[in-house]
Amino acid sequence: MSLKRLRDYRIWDYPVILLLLAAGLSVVGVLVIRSATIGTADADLYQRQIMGLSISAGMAVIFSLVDYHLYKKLFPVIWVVIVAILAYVLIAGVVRGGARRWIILPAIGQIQPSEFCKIMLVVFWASLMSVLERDINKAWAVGIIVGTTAVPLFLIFREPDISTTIVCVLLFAAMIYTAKISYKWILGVLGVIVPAAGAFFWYLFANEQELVEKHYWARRILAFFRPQQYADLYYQQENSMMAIGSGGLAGKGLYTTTFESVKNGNFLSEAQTDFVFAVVGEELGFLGAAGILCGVLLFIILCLNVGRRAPDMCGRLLCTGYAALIGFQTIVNISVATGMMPNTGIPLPFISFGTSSLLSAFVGLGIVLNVGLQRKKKEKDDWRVV
Amino acid sequence: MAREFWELIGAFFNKLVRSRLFPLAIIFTLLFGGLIGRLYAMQIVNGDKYRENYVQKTLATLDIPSVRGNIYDSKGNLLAGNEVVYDLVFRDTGAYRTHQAKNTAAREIWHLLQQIGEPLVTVIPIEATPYGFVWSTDSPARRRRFLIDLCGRTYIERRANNGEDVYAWTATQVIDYMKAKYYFDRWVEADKKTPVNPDNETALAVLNIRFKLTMTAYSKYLSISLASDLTDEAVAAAMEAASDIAGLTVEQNYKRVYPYGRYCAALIGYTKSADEEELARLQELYPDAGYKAGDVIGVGGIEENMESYLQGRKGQQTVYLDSQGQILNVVERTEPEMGSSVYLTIDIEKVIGTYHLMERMLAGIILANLVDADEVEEKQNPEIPIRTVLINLISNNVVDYELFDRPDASEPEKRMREAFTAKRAEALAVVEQELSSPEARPYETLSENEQAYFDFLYSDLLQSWGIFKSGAIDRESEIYLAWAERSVTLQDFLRAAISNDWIETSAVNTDEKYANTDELYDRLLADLMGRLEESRSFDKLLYSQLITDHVISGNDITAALLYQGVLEHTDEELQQIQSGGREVVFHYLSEKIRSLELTPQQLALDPCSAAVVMTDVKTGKVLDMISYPGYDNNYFSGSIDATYYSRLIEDMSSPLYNRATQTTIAPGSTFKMISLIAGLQENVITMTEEVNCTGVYEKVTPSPSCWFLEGHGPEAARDAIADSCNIYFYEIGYRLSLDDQGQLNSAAGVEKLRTYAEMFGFSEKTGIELSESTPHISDREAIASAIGQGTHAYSTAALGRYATAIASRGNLYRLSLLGSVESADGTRKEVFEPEIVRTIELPDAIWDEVQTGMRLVMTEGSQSVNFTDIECFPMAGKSGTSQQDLKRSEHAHFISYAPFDNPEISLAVTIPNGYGSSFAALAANEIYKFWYGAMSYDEVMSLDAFNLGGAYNLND
Repeated sequence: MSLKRLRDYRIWDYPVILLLLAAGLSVVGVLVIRSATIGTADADLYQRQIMGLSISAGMAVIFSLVDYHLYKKLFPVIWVVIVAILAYVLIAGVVRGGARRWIILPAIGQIQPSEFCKIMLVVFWASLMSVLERDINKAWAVGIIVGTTAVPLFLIFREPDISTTIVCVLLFAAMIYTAKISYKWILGVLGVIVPAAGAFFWYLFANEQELVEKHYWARRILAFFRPQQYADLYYQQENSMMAIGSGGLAGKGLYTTTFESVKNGNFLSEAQTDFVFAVVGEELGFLGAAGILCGVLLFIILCLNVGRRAPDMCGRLLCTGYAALIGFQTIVNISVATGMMPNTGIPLPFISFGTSSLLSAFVGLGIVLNVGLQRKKKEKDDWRVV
Repeated sequence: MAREFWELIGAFFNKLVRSRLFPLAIIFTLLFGGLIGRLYAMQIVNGDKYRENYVQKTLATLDIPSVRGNIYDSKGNLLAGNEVVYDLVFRDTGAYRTHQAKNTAAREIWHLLQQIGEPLVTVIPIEATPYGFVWSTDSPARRRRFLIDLCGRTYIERRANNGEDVYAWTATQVIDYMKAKYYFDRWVEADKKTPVNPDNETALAVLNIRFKLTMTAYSKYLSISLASDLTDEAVAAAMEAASDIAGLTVEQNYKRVYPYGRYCAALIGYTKSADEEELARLQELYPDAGYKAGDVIGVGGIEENMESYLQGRKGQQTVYLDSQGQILNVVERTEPEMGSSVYLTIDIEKVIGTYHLMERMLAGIILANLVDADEVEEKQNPEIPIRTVLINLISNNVVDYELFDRPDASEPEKRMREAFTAKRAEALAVVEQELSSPEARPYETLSENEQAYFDFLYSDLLQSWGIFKSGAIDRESEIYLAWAERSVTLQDFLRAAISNDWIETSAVNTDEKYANTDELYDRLLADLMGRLEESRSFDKLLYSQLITDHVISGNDITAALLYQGVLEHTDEELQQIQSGGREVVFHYLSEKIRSLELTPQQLALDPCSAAVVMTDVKTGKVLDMISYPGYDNNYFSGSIDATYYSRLIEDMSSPLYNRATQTTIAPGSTFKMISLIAGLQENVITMTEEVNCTGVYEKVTPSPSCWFLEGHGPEAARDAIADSCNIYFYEIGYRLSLDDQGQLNSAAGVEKLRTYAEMFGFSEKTGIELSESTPHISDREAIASAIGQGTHAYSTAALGRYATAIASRGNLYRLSLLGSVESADGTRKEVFEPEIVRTIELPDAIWDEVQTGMRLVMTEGSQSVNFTDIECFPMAGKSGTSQQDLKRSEHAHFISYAPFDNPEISLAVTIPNGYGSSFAALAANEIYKFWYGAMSYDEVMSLDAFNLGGAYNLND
């Protein structure tokens, strides 16, 4: 199949709303970052975010013009690149806070490759699963898919970056579900995972003492269940909840300087990254926080809609994967900030500070836009086909 | 309609089951909905609660310290005040985030301190030596507290579970731990490559600063103190450097100062940070004052007694703090109130002069008895051989024998060091030999010097070690009695002590709990030898033997005195001392004693101390008070200077002891007025009845004698006082002890005397605002008690109060130093009125008799002989000499009041081991002259040792 050319795109179908939503969220992000870092040594972070935003927006436009079928052709290369990057991180990466997740690039500085790997994995899976579309339920196909997935996921796990690993697994599940894997497989896997999880938690609670000493993830999980005992670890979430809760209906106002602000009291750590939602909750209140959630939900559903109208499985998978990426990351980040999940380090898409995160979000958006530009000529909704 | 509805539902579920994207959308919607619900619960439903919780969390009340009130004398001279000092402090403003940055900043601070020559205030109890790190404290409790602060209990427990005892860490282990904690291994220089390799001193300084910052990490409104009391140059240099180091400032603080130091330290006391016990006590006494840990409080003297007035009131601010303890917002602020000013009744100019007068009298007494001889007769009031002076120069640290080791020591010092080293090696060998060998030589076969070693071991080392279980030793046992008379060796005694379980095994450095007797003895011996080797007291014993045996000459010691810079001298003098014989030494040292360049405090001979209490007869207020020797309480201000304190403790003249209120001595003849009053009131004698003094009182055996061995002849009341006739008063004591059958009952006599002693306040403390020892009225030997011997024991303050009672004809006052208190703003004033504890009701005739007798003492009686060449101030008084140790000099007392015909003030002077009461009287005479202006202050301060004659002819 030949690649589409620029003039083959249906410009009128360019999903503007998606762009607007993404832009809107990003702008909110910049404003909140500025508020979170005012008066500190990082006061100029928001400017870097603006720069990153400009670059990312540009990348989005570029990618939206690249035919996604290209990736389908290149998926083995993509896989190799993923593995190579992750391996490089493990070998030559820089350790921050106990995890080796970053590498230093000349001129650009510090980047977190696992952010890019997420979107690249989405592309890889979309390509692989669509290639194997017809035989998706056959054992050998599943084997190939799982096998090729295991390698990068393992490398991520070893960084250690458990939270990213979990998000990737969820992504994988969403995508292979979209690829029409039979419910037999689904039920079969659940049948294994659920008891395994049960056993895992039982083991964790039984050997609390030793595990806590050696593994930080054990401490994190147990701190969630037993906040009093591990007060120092639960501290971040507690303060985040305090900030959000005290925001009330309309919040304390952006850039609030009141001494009653949890943010101003220096009680929020990572206020510009992991816990940026705490600032949102405190300063923009319920209206702002819920508004953002609605915005993101709308964004996801629109992406899914683009996927529904995609001309082929590959396009559909790309949209689904991207929607799931945004969706799950948002859910996890906000769950942590509101104290519903053990503490992990997932950024909030579009809003958290971080060039890597912004870039991968906009690149993914670009790809989805491209899919959108090639949508089927069918006017009437026909859900049954999907 | 319904059918279409169900069709819609059917279509919905159809889509649900058959589509893949639709369920996904539903799932996301549900999840997001859940999150929104969660937000609703948190922000709308519970929003207020979160808000309140947060505000609660950050609201704090901080104290603002108050300035301590001043203490003045009666003329308004400042005795205790506050001086502004500049401290170098550092606040963590968050400018230095990484370990790298913090370490580098700390190092810069250290360099700055070295540049301005100020020492760093440290918290880590470890010292850096060129060879490594050592603990600077021996106290295990102190180490524990530090390690808990450093590592946290959780860490220590975890390590203990793994079998490692953190509390047993060596200093080096602690430093390694700290270096790891503060990432020293990642610390690089400015080029970002070369690792920083700090030397031990620098590393320790940086760690001190880092640790202090850690301790205030959550109280960032506090700054850490780097150096205190900076000189002006240091302040200037620090201000310059402050621009380079963020958070470095110079802060103004107050330091307590005592302009008159040793003259009134015993009266004033000092200030320091309260420890736990003191804090608990104050919180109980003054629950409203809000005492907290670390507050500065007064200890001893007026500082302690008037604490509640001097403390003032703390201010307070209610603030909002952030998570690091930085102040966000001040809600409320109450300013602190400065402490009130306390005005005492003493006149400091007179106090200084009196101190000097007593010092000069002490020097005079010493010179009067000093002889250039090696041996003197053992008797009451013995002569002082020059040898004792030489020994004390070393024993009392006037000459520092440890300086003999320094590389540039003089020839004499080197000689002495050699002699000492040889002797010490020998002595230690002998001790070890005799204590371990099964054929130890019996005590009497040892040389005198060797015997001294074992006596020292027993009475000094073992007792201060606390090796014997208290109360365990059976003093009736054979072995104890044998050792007491030295018929067995110390080894025998110690071995027996072990088998009799008299030894506190936990004090011996042993791991096994049930070592057998021999093993335990070997351990004990090893510990003992260790302690002996470190004992400065033992070194001094060896030096005293070297001096006595003339192995070390007086010339060498005196030369060392000059070489060590203790005395100003000319090269000529030094030359003479080194080349001359012993008479040069005697002459030179005597001259220095005469000129008061060598003080009685330094010499620590008998006598080396004195007490004076002068009271206003009409109010009981103390006008002048001396305890010689004094100490400089400026060294105690804030935190006790450890070097100075250990010097004071070692000082054989015990400067920390208040001779006026804490030393209790038998009053001797000063008590006789009470005996007279007792005799008269009990009707065992009349005022005109005469008792014949023959020089010996034969009514009892053994027969005590009168001090005037030839006998005074017939004496009646006032004459008996004037002549201080012992026989007259023995007779009173005798008569008081007779029961109805005419039998002698000493207990009865003592009881009767007690009644009158109590009348004059001798059973109570005087009530003065200082710490007093409890007095003791004699409870045996009525006849001796009547002349002030027996077991009477009274302080000079008590004697002063007694003199005042006589002078005022019956007013027994509560002695007091307090004049008035004024609030800091001058608006409130409280005057401390005189307090009469009780009025002593006696017939006028008795007061007349007593007062006349006391006047006659000066004009015709026992003291009149001292005033043939010297003019006697118009006073009435009574001297007293009391014996305690028959081989040492007697104690000297003198109580008096003046003017004798219209009393205004009373004066009590005591010179422990003062050789004779005349000297107390002569000193009192000078004090009166000074007090009434017959001698000026400058005149008094220019006087040398009082001329009492002696081997060193003061008229040269």
